[in-house]
Amino acid sequence: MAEVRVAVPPTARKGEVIEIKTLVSHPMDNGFLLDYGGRMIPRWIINRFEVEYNGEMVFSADWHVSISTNPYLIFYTVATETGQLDFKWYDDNGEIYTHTAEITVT
Amino acid sequence: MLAGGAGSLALYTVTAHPAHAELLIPDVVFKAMVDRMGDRTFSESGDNIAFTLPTHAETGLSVPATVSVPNSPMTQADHITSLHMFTELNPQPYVADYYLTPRCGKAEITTRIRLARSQFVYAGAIRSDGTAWITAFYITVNLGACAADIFLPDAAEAVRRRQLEGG
Repeated sequence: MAEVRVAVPPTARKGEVIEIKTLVSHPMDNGFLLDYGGRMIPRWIINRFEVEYNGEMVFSADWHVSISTNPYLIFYTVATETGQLDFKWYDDNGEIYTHTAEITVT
Repeated sequence: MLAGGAGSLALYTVTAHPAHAELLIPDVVFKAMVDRMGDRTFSESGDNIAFTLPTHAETGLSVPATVSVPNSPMTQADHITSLHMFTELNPQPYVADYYLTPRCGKAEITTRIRLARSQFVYAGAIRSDGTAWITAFYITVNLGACAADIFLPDAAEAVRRRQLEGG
């Protein structure tokens, strides 16, 4: 299970553009490397990332093998209303990593 | 507009921005762009895309990269719908595709990418009216990310060959 760390400001003014930082611990094996026994390490990456703000998708991404180990991402969103941000990462093995952050908009 | 690229030509050019030289795009990157950004007219971005990378990286394992369209108002009528990154000499040209909405407020993403060797990295942006912009950045990498060969018995030879290649 990947460990997920997300930084969302707890409070924001209405209409403010807030910066969101995300970091997932994940090997992001690209399928081109060999282990010490010379065997190919199979591809295992997070290929999809989605963010929903109170149920509406505001940002999403498709990732490929050229994204680094422990993918780090900074993006922005407008603080429209008090509520929650749902983050979802989907990996090649069908696992879904989730995180929920609360935000208070004044 | 595409100018060239017919037959066996390996390079494509996109419309030159008045203030910039024409951009040459390798076949493999152009195909990836058509695949991820759609079959559309690509234009050299000029000042529209700000693509920030270090000019040199000691290793290609984790290179910070920022793609932004600083002048986009990100309104319903005029916003950036997607930002893309491609590489020329990685095993695969695809890096990442980011899909934005007006609710993003700012057309900017920062991430960390892998680079196999010194090469051009390409960034693309699609605006809500269908305009597609492309820009490129050359980065030198001392030790590539796909360093499978340095773990093999002839590692020294592999490293020497890599240095000779300038990668």
